[in-house]
Amino acid sequence: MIDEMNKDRGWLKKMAAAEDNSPISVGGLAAELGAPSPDEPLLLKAIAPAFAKLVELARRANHLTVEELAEKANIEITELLAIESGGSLDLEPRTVFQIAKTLKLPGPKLLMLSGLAKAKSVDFDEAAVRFAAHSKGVEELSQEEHEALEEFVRYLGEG
Amino acid sequence: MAAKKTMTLNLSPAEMLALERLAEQKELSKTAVLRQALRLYQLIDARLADGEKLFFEDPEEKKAQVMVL
Amino acid sequence: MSEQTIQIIDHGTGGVVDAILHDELDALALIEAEKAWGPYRIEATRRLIKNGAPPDEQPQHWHWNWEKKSSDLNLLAYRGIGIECEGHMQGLMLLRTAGTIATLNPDVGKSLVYVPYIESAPWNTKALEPHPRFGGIGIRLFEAAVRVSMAEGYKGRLGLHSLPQAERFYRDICKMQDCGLDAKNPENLRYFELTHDASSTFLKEA
Repeated sequence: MIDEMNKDRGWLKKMAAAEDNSPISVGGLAAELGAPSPDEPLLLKAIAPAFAKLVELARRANHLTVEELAEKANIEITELLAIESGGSLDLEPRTVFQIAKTLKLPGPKLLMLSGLAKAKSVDFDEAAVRFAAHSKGVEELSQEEHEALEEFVRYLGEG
Repeated sequence: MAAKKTMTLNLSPAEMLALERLAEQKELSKTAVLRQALRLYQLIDARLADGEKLFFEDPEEKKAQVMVL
Repeated sequence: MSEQTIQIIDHGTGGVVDAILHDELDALALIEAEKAWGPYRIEATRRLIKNGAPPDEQPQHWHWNWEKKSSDLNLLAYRGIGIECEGHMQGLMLLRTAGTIATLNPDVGKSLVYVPYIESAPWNTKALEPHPRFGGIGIRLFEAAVRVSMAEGYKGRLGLHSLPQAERFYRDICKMQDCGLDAKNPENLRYFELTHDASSTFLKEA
């Protein structure tokens, strides 16, 4: 049992104002897990949103939460969050292939979309941009999103 | 909080002397020294049970001695 | 479990509100808190990244999981502290009360209370929530840590490794001594220590 805590409201108000709801966290494992660092934006090209969208929509179409996909694909949840938010983690090809395998998407094409491999045709970029432009929502997949996803996955599967 | 329980502890003169010295060095009561010893014993035991190792390192001789409880 | 009534700041009214300080939380309390905190923390962080927040504005503790730390409370060396208000945990802290000693004179070698984990509820953190619900959570948890150290006979001595974003809080507000980057710390964080003297000053004002 500890002694009675301070009852002075003036002291509390003064200290709370100084604290100003700023971070107080200690220890932690940020370095180990690789906290997001946008120093080097990974997804610079116009197709960048397509990669984020494709992963998000394909995940939702598979009825998986972010946590579930991360677990199934055996990747860090931090990486997946960064990917889906068009973020900026240094992506490993392994991560992209794990996602592709779990979501049944073509791995090499997904690698191109992620920016880790160079796209081989203008068509590819155009299809990606078209897909990104058609998918906006974040809750349930709309009919339009379903169609955009199906069309794009069909395209990725070709050739 | 659950009520504390009291026990009688029989220590040899040497053991009592060691306890008194530790209490003095650490500026703790004898009870606090024993309580801390129990916490450490349990903590180390749990980590050893998890497969971790406890060792003391001699920086000059670069030798590490593995400890057990 | 032991508890007492304390006051925290209610940003909704701008006044002071009663809360409960728990100073012997069990593992279940941490698991329950994480159920509410985890999704909120991840969602808020995700929103920040999406909005292009620079890295120094993104919280550095967003991957934490109190549930994973809960098993520590099965050991005597750990103690869980929490602030509860309106039926939810508003702040949590894990303390280790054995196995860590002071490094600063004149306390070198004396026992201290080490703070392995501490966090305000995500809705009380400005980095995650533009309009935080309650205030003063950090300073109350810090005060509780000092009082636990007193109750243990460690004379208010405390030690912790601060995440970079929290250094200002421990150095300028809590008046802990900044002992610099700790090469032995796996993440090379700065180590802060509160000496017996500094804790007396803190409690005199508190």
